[in-house]
Amino acid sequence: MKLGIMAAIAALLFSSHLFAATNSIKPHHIEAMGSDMTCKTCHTTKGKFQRPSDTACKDCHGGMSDIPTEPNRFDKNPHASHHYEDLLECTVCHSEHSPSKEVCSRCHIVEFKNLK
Amino acid sequence: MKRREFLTKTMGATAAMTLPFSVSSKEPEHKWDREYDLIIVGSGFTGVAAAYSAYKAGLKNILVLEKMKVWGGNSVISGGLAGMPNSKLQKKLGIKDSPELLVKDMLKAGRNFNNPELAYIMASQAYTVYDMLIDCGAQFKDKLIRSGGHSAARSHIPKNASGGGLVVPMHKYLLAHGVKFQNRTKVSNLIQESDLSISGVAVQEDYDFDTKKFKRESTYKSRHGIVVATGGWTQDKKFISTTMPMYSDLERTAHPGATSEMIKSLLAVGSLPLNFDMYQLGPWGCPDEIGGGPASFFAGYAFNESIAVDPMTGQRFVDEHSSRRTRSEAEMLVMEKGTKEKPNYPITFSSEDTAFRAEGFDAAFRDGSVQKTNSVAELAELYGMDVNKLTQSIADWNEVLKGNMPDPFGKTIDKRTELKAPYYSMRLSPKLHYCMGGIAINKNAEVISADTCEPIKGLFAGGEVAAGTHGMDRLGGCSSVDCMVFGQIAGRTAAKYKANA
Repeated sequence: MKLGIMAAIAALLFSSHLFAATNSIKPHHIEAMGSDMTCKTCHTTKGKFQRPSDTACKDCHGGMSDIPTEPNRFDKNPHASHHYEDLLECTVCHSEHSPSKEVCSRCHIVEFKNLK
Repeated sequence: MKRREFLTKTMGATAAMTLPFSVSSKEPEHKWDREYDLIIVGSGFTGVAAAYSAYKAGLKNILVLEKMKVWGGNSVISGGLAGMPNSKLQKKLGIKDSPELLVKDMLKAGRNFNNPELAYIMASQAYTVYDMLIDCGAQFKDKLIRSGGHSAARSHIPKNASGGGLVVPMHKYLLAHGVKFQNRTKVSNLIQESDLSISGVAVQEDYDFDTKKFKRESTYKSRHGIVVATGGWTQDKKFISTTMPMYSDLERTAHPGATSEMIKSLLAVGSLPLNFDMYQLGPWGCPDEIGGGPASFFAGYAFNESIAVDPMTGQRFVDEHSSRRTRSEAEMLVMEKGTKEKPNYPITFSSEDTAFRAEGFDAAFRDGSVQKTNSVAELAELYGMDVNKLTQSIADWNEVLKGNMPDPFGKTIDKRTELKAPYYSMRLSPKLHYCMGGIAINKNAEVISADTCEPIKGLFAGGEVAAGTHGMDRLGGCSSVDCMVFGQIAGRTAAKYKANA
């Protein structure tokens, strides 16, 4: 019973704008979308709240190879690495509610200044 | 669900109790959440090769599982060198070679701990790997190099000097032909039937390797058994310190996901373990970069065309082109002359001519792991060496190059590049690189049971998780080929196997 109530509260939180207030949306998304940018823009699955698949990203942005990226000072392009090319999910490197982190920085000095 | 919990949950009450790893005396009670023709665990060299051959053999509903967010494991972050005798490229370049010659090199490096039958299968089918890669759109440089311990130039280099240049085209080819790839999925158990055959896997879906959290647990049935293509476990500190305590503190070259879950699952269903205390060290490791990075690629060229010295003596200490084990052991002896906090790192260096031809040089020089010095005096000063002794070592090597004196270490010289300033140099420190041990397989990539020394039905494996091809140590450019030859074989054998359809 207790669990049921907690689940109901959680569902309410997750489905409302209250959640967005605690989980910030990045400025470039607000700039581009204004008040059209809600949790549901990315979290498209019905029912249980889930990590979004990158279909939501791709609907607006296209795939890795469609998105223009600037090479860094070593002439490396983040969307065309020797190891993964354009096979990666957006969320491997990009996060919305926390700072993004390039997967390549685990081994390499990359300094992609425009990472969003 | 924990491994043990799962096993007890599904374990039958009677006869099965005497067989510690069997799960049921009748039909399993679990119902399957999903069903496939073939499930392959791991998306690196072995996994994609298995998917390719299974697809070519006519299987339709193939699923490749990957534990991590990214695809391809260590394969895609490797240099992608591939030693393939009798490939179309090697023939075109007119290089004389044979599978027998490669086997001879492998047995020498493996100190005869190899399974010679597996070594011969790898060497003799290597050329088919070249054809498969070209079929999938991979591209190679138009040159071959002779890596350490090889007696012929047979190392093919991907055009982008990365294993990604081989695995990614295969991954895309497979996607285009309907093979499914699912990442963030950890296999927690191999599911074993009462006849001890393997029928499927228990998985954790939407698994986050960093937090170990997951969303769901499911069971997947695989009609043609399971191909295990999960590679090694050198990032599993506890497993390393238990099997080879001496290597506990070494740096590693593997990606963080190279841990021991699947080798433990294989042991849990009764697979025969081999050589678990044997690990390979990479002699081209550099303490000034992470993993086996670009400096390692440069080191290969410096080893081939130049020398390595002990900074304490200013003198050479090993045939720089011998097997990885020979070189690593010699380097560790040099390092031990220093303290644990401040090891006496050996140095390798080359002339500009050599450096500028080496893949990885630009990046290594840029990142500072390879340094430039303009004279012997500067080079000696950089590493605190005796300039007179170093000058003598360089002069001696140049005499060897001219053919005026024999090489004191018996090194075979391919390219005679005068060693002169400016010098490009790096520090050396062997890194834990590869698991020589693993479970036993036979020539059909069937996993062998410890109980019967016969195949476990429905269980196939190849690549680093399987042992035997290389013995005690392996040559460079041989893991990729081992993975792809036995991956292909595993896919073909699985396609023929159909116990629980």
